[in-house]
Order: sequence, then C-alpha cells, then structure tokens
Amino acid sequence: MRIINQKFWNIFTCFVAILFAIPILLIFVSLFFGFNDNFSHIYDVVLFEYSANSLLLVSGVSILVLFIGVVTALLVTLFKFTGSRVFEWALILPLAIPPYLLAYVMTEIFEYSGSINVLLRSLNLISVDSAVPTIRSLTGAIIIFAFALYPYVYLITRVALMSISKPILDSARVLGTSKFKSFTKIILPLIRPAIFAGLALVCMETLSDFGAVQHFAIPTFTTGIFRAWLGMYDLNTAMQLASILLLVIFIFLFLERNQRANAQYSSVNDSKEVLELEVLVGVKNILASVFCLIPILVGFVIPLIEIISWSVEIENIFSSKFVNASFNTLLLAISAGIITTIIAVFFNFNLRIYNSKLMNVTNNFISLGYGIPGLVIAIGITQFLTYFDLIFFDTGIIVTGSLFGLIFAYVIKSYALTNNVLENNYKQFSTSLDDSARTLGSSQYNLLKNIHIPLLKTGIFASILLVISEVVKELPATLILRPFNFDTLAVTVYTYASEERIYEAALPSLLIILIGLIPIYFISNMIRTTRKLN
Amino acid sequence: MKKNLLNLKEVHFEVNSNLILKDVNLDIDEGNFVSIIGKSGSGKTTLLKIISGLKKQTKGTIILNDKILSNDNIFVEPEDRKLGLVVQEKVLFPHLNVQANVEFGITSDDKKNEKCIEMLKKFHISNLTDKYPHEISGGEAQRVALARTLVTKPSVLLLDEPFNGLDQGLKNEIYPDIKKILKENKMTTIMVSHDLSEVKSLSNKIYELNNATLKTYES
Repeated sequence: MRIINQKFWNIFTCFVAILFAIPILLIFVSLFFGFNDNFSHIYDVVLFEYSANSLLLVSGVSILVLFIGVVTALLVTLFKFTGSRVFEWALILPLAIPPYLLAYVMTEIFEYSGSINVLLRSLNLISVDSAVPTIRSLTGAIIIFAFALYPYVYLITRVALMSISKPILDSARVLGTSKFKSFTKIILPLIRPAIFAGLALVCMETLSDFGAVQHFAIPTFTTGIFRAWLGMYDLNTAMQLASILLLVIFIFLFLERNQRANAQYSSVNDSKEVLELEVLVGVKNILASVFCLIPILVGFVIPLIEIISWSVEIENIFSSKFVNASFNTLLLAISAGIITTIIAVFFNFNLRIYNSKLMNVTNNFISLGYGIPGLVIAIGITQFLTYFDLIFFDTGIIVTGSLFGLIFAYVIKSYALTNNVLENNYKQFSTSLDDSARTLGSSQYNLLKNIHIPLLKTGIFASILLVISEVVKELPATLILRPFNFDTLAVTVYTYASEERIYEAALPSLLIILIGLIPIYFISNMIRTTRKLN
Repeated sequence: MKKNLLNLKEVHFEVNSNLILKDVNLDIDEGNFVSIIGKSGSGKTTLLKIISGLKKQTKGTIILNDKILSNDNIFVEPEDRKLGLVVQEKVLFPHLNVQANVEFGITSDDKKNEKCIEMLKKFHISNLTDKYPHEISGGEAQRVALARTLVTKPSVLLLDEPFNGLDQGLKNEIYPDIKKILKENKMTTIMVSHDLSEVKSLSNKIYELNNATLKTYES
C-alpha cells in the first residue's frame, strides 16, 4: 500500500520551504514599511561607522585567515615535518571554541592582572606598573576571529589539495615546468575556488558574530541591530538594518556556493597515486612545526588552560545556575537535533525516491540557513511569531517568547549540517537496493522504516550530534528568542562576561568546548581514514 | 643508418628490498616505436617514470643523445629532460581549457597559438579549443593529452597505456592518426601496455618485462 504519495511529499516540501522562508522574507518586507526617525538617526550618525567597522573587520580577518589557513594546509598536505601528522587534525581544534568565548578568554589573559602580564612581570620583561596593550580593539578582534575561524579555510583547502592528482603534477613537470611553477600554475589555481569558498564562510561567520564585537565594544551591524531592538525597542529599524546585513551575507553565500561548484570541477582525480610528501629538515622543519603550533596554541590550548585555571578559583562551580543552564541547553539542542534530522531524512528520502526538481531546489534553498546570522533569523522569527499570535490567539502572546521560536531558529541555522551528513550517507548505498525492496512488495513507508533508517543509523546519530554542538555555541539567536529567565550555557557565559564575573563562566565554557569537540572528532576521524586509504 | 638515441644501462630499481627492475638494458634508435608489454605490477610504469625523471633508479645509467640524464652522480630534473609522457589517467589541467592545456608546454611565445591549432587539427579536435576537460569525452581527452605532449616536440615520447579505458572502436579511430603523426614527426616512442594487439598494431619492436627483467618479446 502506498501510504505516502508524491502529492503529499510535494505539499510537505513546499510547507517546509515556506516556513523557512517567512522569517527572511519578513526581514526584507520591512524595507517597504518606511524609515522612521530611529533609522534616520542611525543612518545619519552610526551607519557609516557600522559599515566601516564591519568592512575593516572582514578585510583584516580575511587576510589573516588566508595566511594561517592556506599556509598550514599547504604545510601538512605537501610536506612531512616534526608533528605534521598530529597537526593535520589538531589544527581544527580551535573550531570547538566559538569566537565570543575566545574573545572573553583573551580579554582576561591580556588584562592588567591577566596571565600574560603576570608572566611578563615575573620574567622582568615589563615593569610592575606597566602592561601589554589591551586586546579590546578592532585589531584585537581581527586576531581573535582569525584564530577562531581559520580552520574553515584550512579544512577546505586541505581537501582540495588532497584531491589534486599526482599524474597531473607529473605531467606538468615532464612538460617542462619546475616545482615552483607547478605550484603557481597548477596547484594554486586548482585550490583557489576552495580557498575562496572557505573564506566566504569565514566572512559570513565574522559578520554574523555578536558576542565578540559586543564584548570589544566595536559598533558593527550586529551590535547595531541589537541596540535598535533592545535599546530603542524598535523592531522595524532592527529588521531594516538586518536586511542590509543580509544582502551582504547573500553575496558571500553566492560566492561560497559558486566557488564550491568550481572546486568540484577542479578536483577530478581518478588516480590512486597520492602526492608525495617532501621531507623537511633542519631550520625548515622547525619553522614548519612552529608555524602550525602557533594557531593551535592561540586558538585552543592557551584558552583551554586559562579556563581550567578559572575553574580552580571558583568555590561552588556546580551552582544551580550551571545545572539549569546545562539542562536547558541539552533540552534545546537535543530537540533541535532530532527535529532537524527528521526533516533532513524526509527530504533526502523524498529526493531519492522522486528526484523532482522542486524538491531539489527546495532542499538547496533551505540549506542556505547556515549562512544567515542567528541574530537576523531571530528577528525574522520574532516578527513572524508576533503575527502568528495576533492572528490565531485572542489572548495575547503565546508562541512568541516560547521555546518554539528558539528551536525553529536552530533548525533553520543547522539544517545544512544534517542535510550534508545524510546526503553523503545516502550516497553510500545503491538505489538498486530500493528497487529490490520495492519489487519484493515493500511500500515506501516500509522502505524508509525497514531499509533506509537502519542503514542511515550512523548518519542520523552523527547529524543529531552535529546539531547539538552547533546549538550549544549559538549565542545571539538564543539571547533574543529565549523565554524569560531561561538561560543556556552560551547565555550564562555571556552574562558572566558582561558582569565582569568571567571566572564563574569556567564550567559552562568548558562544557561548550567539550560539546564543540564532537564535530572535530568526526572530522579528525575522516582525516585519519583518508590517510589510511592513501 | 639510424642514430642511437636513448640508452638504458643496467638500470636497477628496488623499493624496501622489493626488486622491481633488474639490470635493464635498452637501446632505442631515433624514430623507432618500441613497446614494452608485461602484466600489471611488472614495473612497466616505473620504467617510464625512471626514464622521464619522475623516479630515480637505484643503480644504472640513462643516456639521451649521448648526454647522461641520470646515474649515481648526475640527475637531470624531469622538466629539463625534454621528454614527453602521456599516461592513462586524466591528466589534463582541469582549470584550463583545451587550447590553454595544449599551449601549456610551449615555452617560446612565438607562434604559440598557431602551433597549438595546427596540432589540434592533426588530431581532429580543433573544435574543442574552448572546452574544459570536464566537458569532453575520454577519447577526446586522450587526443588532447597527446597533442599537448607532441606540440612540445619531445626527443622521446613515452606512452603509459594511454588508450586504456577506451573502447575498441575508439582505439581503431585513434591508432591511424597516431601512427601518421608520429611518422610525420619522426618521433621516437616507447609505449608500455598489457594489450598485445594494440602493441603489435603500432610498434617496430616489442620487449617483455617479466620478473623484473626486460627481454625481447618472442611470440
């Protein structure tokens, strides 16, 4: 019996697409409601500052991230040196620490009484009453973002480098090209799309951040949006600012997608031969090791040690606030993980069975949510739920400010993660398996329940875990959409940092990092497997 | 009398005590088409890589045109050997179109475009100039790879099972073109293959590589 037919799937697809699109459309619709005095004030006084700071931040971060991400990827993929096998996975560790958390930790480290100044004074490198410059500046923010986000460029560049076929480089050599020329004429052009795709992701993350720039008191679009709404209580102006930010984000999103597509054409590798690693010796060996070690130390090891040192200073680390925040976070993260995964399973099952253009386009469309800043999604959802409450409930605000909005935001933001995992998992088993099941009399429902879900078990588990790690780190959307008095780990850390009680944030911070290590475990496993295959 | 162009003297190659080539001696005259047959893993590809400089032999000497390319003390880098190598894998540069791929190895800027177009015409692929490698078929890609190598006028052309993976119909189409072009250019060629019929249809002389040793093939 065909329990679920194509018509149902089409309706389901359209429903999900509309649901995902509404918050974003509402943001753009705000541009047609006219601009009030608040917007005019922002336009006259601070919009240039927001734009200039955002531009400077993105430019600075891009340059630094390119340098760290590309050079480390080249080093660990093309050369063999002391520690290179450890560095290849350790270089992604900074992904476990969100930029806002790194900003809080580094601020503390560089404070007058922070670890750096204490260390330098004890070594008599600075006098007792002097201190190194504070990190709370635009330059400081650029450094923080670069060390927190370079793994995006590192990872994508490394994958692109590994997919370059050795016979192609051999051909270039035999055709008269030197090693250096092979690098500039073959390797660099081949990895360029991947580098730009990674860079576009970094730019989107930088523009989306709220916690770090707010802590450093750098006025950018996100802090402006936040101020317009929660300072001026003007949702419309906040949405209008968000629509400007969203337009910029869409440019990066387009660039990222476009470059990824180009990268696929550039990575045609039908050879079993892998690139031969050049062994570095002497000074080159030491320089390569030091270069790879620095980002790991700054982006992961030093902050981790610092946070652990805070936890030693606190008497009651397992406070009720921490326990509640942990429970709330896990409740939200697990719910979002399960819901997102269910939607992704339905979409991918649907695509596999019918492979219709509508579903394909819809799936690609709803996967774009990863690039949209959490703050922007949160504002769109607030507006959407306010309308929803006004239309359906006479009694007042019911859904707005409930957990529904929060989970909705997480689902939009993390759908691409689950979709990627399940799409790849589905590719691992042939469609002839489906044909066999169908010819043996299995309905689509049975096919999904008895064949696909057991085969997708690992993918489903992995995607739930990935969403959990993403949700745990999410700050701006949670800050805006959380119900009254409902704290998560990220919000707790933010609150402590704002109240200058950062030591009390030790345990929530450690838990965020611990959960953030989940995707890193998967990625490092993948790296190890690829190396074994090679 | 034909001039002796390439000499391999007691070439020996082993990896981790695993013997791949043992005292290989080979003399090839200018303009000859020599083939080497052997089972998969017999060391045919390794031999071509040693000649082209992509691998270095453990012992022995390689001489091209009376000049030592490689021995215990001398090693000429692959880019300086002026040899041509076409392999079975996809080796067209994916970010360059067909014309740019073919022009890649031409060092002088003089008449680059004309040389390229002329070679593409010889291989009947002049309609592909603006296409990218992912837009052309496997047979077309191999013609482009051959054109790219021959346009550089190498002293010796090394072919590593270049027609592997192509169907027989396509091979029958390509063989006459190749024969004609190689003859026109008086190209000295070494081809390795496991396909005896392919080898017989193209070569002047056939060798067999078996148990790391190279011998004249006797049918």
